[in-house]
Amino acid sequence: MVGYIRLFRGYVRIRVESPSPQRFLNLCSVQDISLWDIVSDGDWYEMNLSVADFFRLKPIVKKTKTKVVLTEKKGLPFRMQKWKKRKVFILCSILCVVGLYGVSLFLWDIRLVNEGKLTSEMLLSFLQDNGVTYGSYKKGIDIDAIEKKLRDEYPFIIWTSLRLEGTRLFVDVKENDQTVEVSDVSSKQACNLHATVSGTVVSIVTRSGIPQVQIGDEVKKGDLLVVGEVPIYNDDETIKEYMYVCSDADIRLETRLSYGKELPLAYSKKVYTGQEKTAYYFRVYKNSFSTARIPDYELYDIVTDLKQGKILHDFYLPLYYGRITYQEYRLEEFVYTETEGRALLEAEFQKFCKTLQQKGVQIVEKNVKIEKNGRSLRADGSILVEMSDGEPQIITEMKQTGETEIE
Amino acid sequence: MIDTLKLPKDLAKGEALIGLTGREEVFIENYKGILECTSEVVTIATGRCRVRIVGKNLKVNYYTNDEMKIEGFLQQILFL
Repeated sequence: MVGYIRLFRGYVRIRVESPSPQRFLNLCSVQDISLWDIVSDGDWYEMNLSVADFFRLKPIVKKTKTKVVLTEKKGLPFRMQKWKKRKVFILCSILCVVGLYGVSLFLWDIRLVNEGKLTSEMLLSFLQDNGVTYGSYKKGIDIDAIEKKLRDEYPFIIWTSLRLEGTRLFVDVKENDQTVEVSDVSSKQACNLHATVSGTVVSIVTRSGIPQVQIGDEVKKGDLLVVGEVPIYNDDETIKEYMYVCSDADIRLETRLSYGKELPLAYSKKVYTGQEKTAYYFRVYKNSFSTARIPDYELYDIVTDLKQGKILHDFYLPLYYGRITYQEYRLEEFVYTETEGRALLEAEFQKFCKTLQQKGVQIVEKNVKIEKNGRSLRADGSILVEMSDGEPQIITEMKQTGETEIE
Repeated sequence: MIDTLKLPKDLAKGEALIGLTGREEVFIENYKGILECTSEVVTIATGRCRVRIVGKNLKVNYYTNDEMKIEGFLQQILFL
């Protein structure tokens, strides 16, 4: 730190030749002249002192009959004198500093940390709708309000964090891992449960409402499983009134799902010709330019490798640079062998089964066969599965036999 | 008297304060002046005696009215 202050104020290095150099040093000390980096070689001494102190040396030099030679000038005052001749350089430096300050007032990078339902596109679109995008004025971003709005708009988000670091905005979003079925029917509304698929009832546990099916019953799609209209009887077993509840039950149905997938054995594939053209690409804010024109290939892929300009760690700039490679290709026809085709269809079927299992569907039996059908292979069959069912539907028509009560 | 009043000895007796950092740096306060200064020997006058610092590549890092710092490879500190 002391070194920077000395450089800012400016200092000189002198060479001293004197019959009594110690006296010279001591007199400097008495006169409060600070000396540093004193080096001796027997005949002479070299030392640094500030510019102001240098002009105070005259009486000491006279008194000790010392010969003082200025060997070096260092620091900002001397540098400034040199810069006087380089006005354009100074002007550009000032403009550069002002420009950087101006750029630092805006947002130039958005980093998203999200997994799950809320995709990066959705999040960026949400931010854009709320006035946060590349080039937004940083002080105009109300982080607390955006965080709250984000949580309100997407109820499955349980935690949000927005923070500004340099010219970057970090958006962290945590979603609720336990998926909650969001139903249109609120628990306060009277509703029935209907079957969404046809099948056999494997188990039924009713918490509220009256079950309409038993274990082993065959049901069709749309059939009533649990009814939310509960009759209350008089002593003479006539119906006094109906109480309407929101039906709630765990119902598992065994059903058969049909599966069909066709794979044409002939397929086209990209074959790269080896012809490619690379161009350098620059973008300043929204203006981009490239060092080469788009080549006149009929079919080509564009491979872009872009980097964003930055100063230090967090000071990102609206400056992008990189390379663009145009790779020519042609489409060629290929034919799968029967073994390859079967392996592909098998993999596709396994993926389908895995997706079902992830949804909580239990697979009881698989009956899918792969057969050759002319120029294609076809996987056909059915899967016996056990799955939860029961879709709530609001009861719109209520019987007026007396007072109705909703639990 | 000095002990009773708990006065700092360097002030009361005019003694020099010498601090060492390994054998590479030496800080000296309360001195009167430099008597000799070469890259092998630096002799300093203090209130009661002279202090001679012997070493190699000695350099006075800074020298003010209050304190000085000598850097180099220290070999001996003598009180003459």
